[in-house]
Amino acid sequence: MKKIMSVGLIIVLMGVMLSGCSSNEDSSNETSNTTVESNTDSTEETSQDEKSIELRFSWWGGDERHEGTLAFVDAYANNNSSVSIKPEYGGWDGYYQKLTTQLAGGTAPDIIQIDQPWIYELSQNQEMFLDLNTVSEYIDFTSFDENFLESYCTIDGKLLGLPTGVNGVVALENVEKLKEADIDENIVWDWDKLLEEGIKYRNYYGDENYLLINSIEELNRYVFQYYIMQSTGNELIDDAGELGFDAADAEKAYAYIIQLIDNNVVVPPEEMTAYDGKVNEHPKWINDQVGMTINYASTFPVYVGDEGDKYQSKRIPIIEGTENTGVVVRPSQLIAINNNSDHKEAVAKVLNDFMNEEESVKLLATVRGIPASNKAVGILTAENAISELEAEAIEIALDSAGIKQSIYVNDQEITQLFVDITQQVMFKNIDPSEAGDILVTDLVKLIDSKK
Amino acid sequence: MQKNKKKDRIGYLYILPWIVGFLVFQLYPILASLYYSFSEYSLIGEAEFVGFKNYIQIFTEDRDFKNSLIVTFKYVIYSLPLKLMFALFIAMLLNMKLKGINIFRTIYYIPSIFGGSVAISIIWRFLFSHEGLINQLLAYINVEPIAWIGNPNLALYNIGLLTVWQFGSSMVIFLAGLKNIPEIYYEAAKIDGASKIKMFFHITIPSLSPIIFFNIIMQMINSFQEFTSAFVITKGGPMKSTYLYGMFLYDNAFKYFKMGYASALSWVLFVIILVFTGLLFKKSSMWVHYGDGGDM
Repeated sequence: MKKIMSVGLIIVLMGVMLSGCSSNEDSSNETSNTTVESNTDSTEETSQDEKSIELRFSWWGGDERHEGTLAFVDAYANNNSSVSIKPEYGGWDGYYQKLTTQLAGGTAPDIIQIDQPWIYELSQNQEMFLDLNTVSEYIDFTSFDENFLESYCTIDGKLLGLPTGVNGVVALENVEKLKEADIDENIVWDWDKLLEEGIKYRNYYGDENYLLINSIEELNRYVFQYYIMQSTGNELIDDAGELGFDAADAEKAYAYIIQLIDNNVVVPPEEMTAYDGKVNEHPKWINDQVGMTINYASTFPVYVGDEGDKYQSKRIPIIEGTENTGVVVRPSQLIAINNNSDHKEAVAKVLNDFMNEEESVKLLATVRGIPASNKAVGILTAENAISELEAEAIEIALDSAGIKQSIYVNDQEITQLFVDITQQVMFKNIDPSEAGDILVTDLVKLIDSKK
Repeated sequence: MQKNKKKDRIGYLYILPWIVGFLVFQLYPILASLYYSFSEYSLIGEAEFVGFKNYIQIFTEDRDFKNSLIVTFKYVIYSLPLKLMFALFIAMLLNMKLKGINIFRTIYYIPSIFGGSVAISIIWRFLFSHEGLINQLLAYINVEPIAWIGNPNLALYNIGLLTVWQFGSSMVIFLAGLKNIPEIYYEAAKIDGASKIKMFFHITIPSLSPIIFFNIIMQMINSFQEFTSAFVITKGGPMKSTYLYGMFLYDNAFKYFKMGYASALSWVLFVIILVFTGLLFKKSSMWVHYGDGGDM
């Protein structure tokens, strides 16, 4: 009896182990913040002899984007019997690290969704992405704004990707919460008003309620950096690596942030440390204890969920008459083609279909924001498929767009330097004037090392 | 003579798979990282030899290096004894002869299987955030919410709890060790009228000392390299108070694309761990007793 049982157990164990080793994990990415897992489409036909080419397509996103893109993948397979697309998708967290490792090891997918700033980092030494001008016979570029392509997708005359959508930094307001606190629904924000109304909001709702919620990294970018750019009217760091501000400007901006914290206008930093990129998961946002947040319009769907009508988009705080609002308007993402792909022609065709074909455009809708292709915008508007909230947001962003940021501003190490010092200030470890000096000194040194 | 040669050849053939694996997956990466530590390598370009530049920069210019070392040392000093004491305590409990004790042993081992993951980070935030479960429970006894993860002075001790919670492997080894202590020692001590505490300190601990020594070495080496708890819960914040050396290395390698610099950092860590391990070995003869009376 014992022997039979132990033999039986061993067989079961081996079965479990082998099945665990071979199949890919089913990626159940509920939020857009889980780690990246690759997922094979389980409904794909196992007989691969009819499909002569298999292309791999990777992207990040939330559930809505996965659904829409998978629908596109399936439809493309149905319409094109010689090509099948293998989807590899997951959340934002870890996507870039995985991609760079794949690129270094030569195992990157054929079609890759990338964040726009990455094309600079990834084209410094090697041509990681295909110059789309070389496959122009398969792709219709006319539906894109030439300047947009030139500014954001082209390096040294090489077109390295096509923009999926237009994105910009906008404020997201909870309409009811602000109204109840007697804040004008049509208020046009500037930094002074933000402080004033924030105090009003706090006084009305009391403890544990704040007008603005943003992570420390977001406050550094959308409040601290924008405040400086608007006050000086200059770029933060220009293309030559020169700073557009001095220690005194930084000090003023830091002092403003301290005011926001001391007057309980913004959620305290101690409560935000674990929530960078995840503010929508913060209990205070979920429980409607905060009035607004500032972020890229493409993130709004995760913030509002099903409750789109509770919210409206607004222009972020801007100092009237400034030369540089600082507001970033840029492609939401780019779709690029791996320069090492074996099937460049086939991939180019997929890319064209993705951007320009009516059926695909309808399937993909606005899962990557308002499309950058005006052909697509036309199709979707006719279908009433564009969410009002997001359409409004993009319009506001385009209206308030600032000077295009240099590549230095998006550099990871430089960003980390900014965040570190802003954090120290927010935790009252160093005072604003000290911080201003340290920021300028360290920044200059760091930029020099990168030149 | 010929027969021996043939036997040797067969022997080598048997261990060939391991040798190949060792050369490809262990020796080559180690040598490669040594080479990279003397170069600048951005992962997506070519490696450029720069001599000692990385090492000099580490020791003279990098502020984060000093901070991360201090944070990591604090982490090791705090979490290592705690984890081992906990593991030993649970092992002793699980050493009791009760019906169904095996089920408990499995249950207590489960946390170690979770490792570091996004699921863990979500649970951690659920428990320890400002509105988390722990603070809610504290509210019942009228204690103000504590910023477990948000307070720079507390965060490190908080993420240390993750590794303490995953004490399973140490516990299992202790359990095995406990089972090997001959019963007659305890019986003899009982007859002589020794209290339980005396028995613990004079029989259990000395008999377990090789195992304790082993666990200290293994867990210390792991603690110095700890990465997941910092990455998954606090991302090194707030204000770099949980910026463990492992995270610092990771950022340099995969965020800033400074593979060469990161390789240099990893070799520095290697030397540090080597030194501490060596020290522990040297001092071990003072307190570790092997059953056969022999020395290391």
